[in-house]
Amino acid sequence: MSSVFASPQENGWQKWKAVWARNEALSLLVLLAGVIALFMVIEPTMRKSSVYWDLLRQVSPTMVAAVGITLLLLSGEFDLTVGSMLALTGIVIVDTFNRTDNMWLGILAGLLTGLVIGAINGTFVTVIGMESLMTTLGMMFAIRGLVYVYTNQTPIVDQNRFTQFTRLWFKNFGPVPSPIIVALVLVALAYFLATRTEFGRNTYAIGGNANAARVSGINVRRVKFTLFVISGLMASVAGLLYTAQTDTGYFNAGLGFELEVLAAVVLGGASLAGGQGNVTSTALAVLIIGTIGKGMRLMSIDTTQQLLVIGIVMLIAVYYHRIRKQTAARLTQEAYAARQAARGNVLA
Amino acid sequence: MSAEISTPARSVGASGQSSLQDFLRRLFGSQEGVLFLIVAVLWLYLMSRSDVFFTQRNIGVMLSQVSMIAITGFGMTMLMIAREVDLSVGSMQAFAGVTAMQALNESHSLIVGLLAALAVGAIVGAINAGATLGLKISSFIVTLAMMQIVRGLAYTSTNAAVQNEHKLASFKKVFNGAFIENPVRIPNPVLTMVIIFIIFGLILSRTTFGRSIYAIGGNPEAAALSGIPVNRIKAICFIITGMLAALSAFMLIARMNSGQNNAGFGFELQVIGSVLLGGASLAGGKGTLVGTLLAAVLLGTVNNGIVLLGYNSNWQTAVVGLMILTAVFLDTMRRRMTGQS
Repeated sequence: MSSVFASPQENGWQKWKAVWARNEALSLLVLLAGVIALFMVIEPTMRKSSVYWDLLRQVSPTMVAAVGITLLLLSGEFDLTVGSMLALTGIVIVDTFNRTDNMWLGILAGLLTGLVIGAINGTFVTVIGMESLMTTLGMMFAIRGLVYVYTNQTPIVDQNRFTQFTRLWFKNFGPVPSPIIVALVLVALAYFLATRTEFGRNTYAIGGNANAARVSGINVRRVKFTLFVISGLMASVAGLLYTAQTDTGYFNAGLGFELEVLAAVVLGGASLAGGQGNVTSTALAVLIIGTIGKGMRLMSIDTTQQLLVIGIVMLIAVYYHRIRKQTAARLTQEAYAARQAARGNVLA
Repeated sequence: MSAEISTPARSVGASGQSSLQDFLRRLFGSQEGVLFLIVAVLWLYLMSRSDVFFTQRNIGVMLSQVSMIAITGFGMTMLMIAREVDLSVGSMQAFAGVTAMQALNESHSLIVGLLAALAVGAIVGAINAGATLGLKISSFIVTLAMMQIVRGLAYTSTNAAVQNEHKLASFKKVFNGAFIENPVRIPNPVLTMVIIFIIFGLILSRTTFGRSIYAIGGNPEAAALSGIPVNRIKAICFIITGMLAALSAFMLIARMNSGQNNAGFGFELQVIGSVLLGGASLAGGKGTLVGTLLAAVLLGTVNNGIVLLGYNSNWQTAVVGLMILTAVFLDTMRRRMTGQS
């Protein structure tokens, strides 16, 4: 009980601990730095900067989709359609290319797909009142199935070979790959939306307590509907980037992508119950998972065995979050007790 | 949440009415009833459209395929009633199967192979329980991680598949044989499914243990305060789910005649889809084995019907999705009309 009388701020170590515990993004940054440092020590190729630019290119579709899901999850709703969306968007884009010979129409059609699917999901959940996890699980199978039916399980190749389109994936601005620029712009927009606007505050409020939010005059349905549309749109942007990589619409694209994205979101500290989490943390979590995958590939660890490591890392990371949150809560309590003690309030 | 406020027992209002009305009310008033109706209509339709559908052979094959999802689904139902979930059952199809086939090849004994599968299931279930309940991390996340870990273990233990090197005659009969031939031939997987359905159905509805599961899912704090050993019961549910998933895996390797390390990809979502379709909820406290069974049969019938009626089999995935959407839609409308929230 001696710690009760020592204000945490007096001790240098304690002070840093408090900063770490109270800042989620910072704690993830520490984790990311640790992972990178570890790989730099054991794998010499991980010391090259080109590896990291490459990594940023590869994680960008996941980052875009994960940010959309994070915003939606803040309000307490799920979207499992992102994996199927990756396939659908690719098919729609390349098919429109082939039918219209116009690149911009194809891209537009791809984005429109996300908008429409997001709106359908949103209508099911907010207008009819269906549960989002179940609804988007159904939509996930329905979309994937329609892709199978439409393509008859054969890839659709871009006959025009729009090299301009593939630049979306391969072009570099200096050392910076273009897809990560798209991703970071969207992360920044999402960050702004979540933290600096009324819409963002309403989203957090709904996730914290939907009934309280409704009673205090927030239009819960409209906010959730908008979030579904945003999530759909983000998924189609991820599909756009993914498709630019091969210039081909694959019917099997993004199988299991929804769980991969969800893993990153959860690693970023978002709560599945809603109300907790933030966009920056999700982006950092995507980087952490990406770095581990990249590092293991460079160490030529079998792709299949990487799953094992990623699973273990996920468990450790979630536990790390728990400890951090507990530390934050304890520090707050101790600071409160110390303040009360300083005032001579013994009962506290 | 207002969802906690339940309507008074419906049978009270129905007491004065005729038994037909009462029957109809029950049929439309529950997820199981609606599912039963859909399955019945679908079966009648398929019988009228195809001569092959209602034959002993076709129904047997269809239900054999359903049995793997249903058996895993029974465990998952108990777990989801207790407000937990297990996403690792798909990877389990691979890992338990691969391990069992290796054990079969080493031992040339069916029992040892089966025990190896069940042991893998129990261990993975225990790890899921330990991480969820001990470290207090959401089971969704724990089992999402375990899904990767178990899949990784399956990949590590074999490059592609473990072939059948033991050539046990009894092994093939696990999936293709029938212990009961008369008066109707009941394939072994279907028999297993029925036995497990009865055992766990009785446990869930007739024992303190079963009632405790519902109590925990309905309100964990209240259950704990009233002396129910919450963690122990949840742990048992995790282990049961793991073992039933492993049993499905054993039937799968008998069907494939090899233990494949990429088996069961996406299986977890099919199982969870069936359980949710059967009336369970992620929020816990709800769900029955009958519902899960009917949902699994429904999805199996749809797949079977698509093939029998000569439609493009690419429609199967889409129709599964549309069935889930329809069921959720009907359930939502039903609850709106009966005033449940």
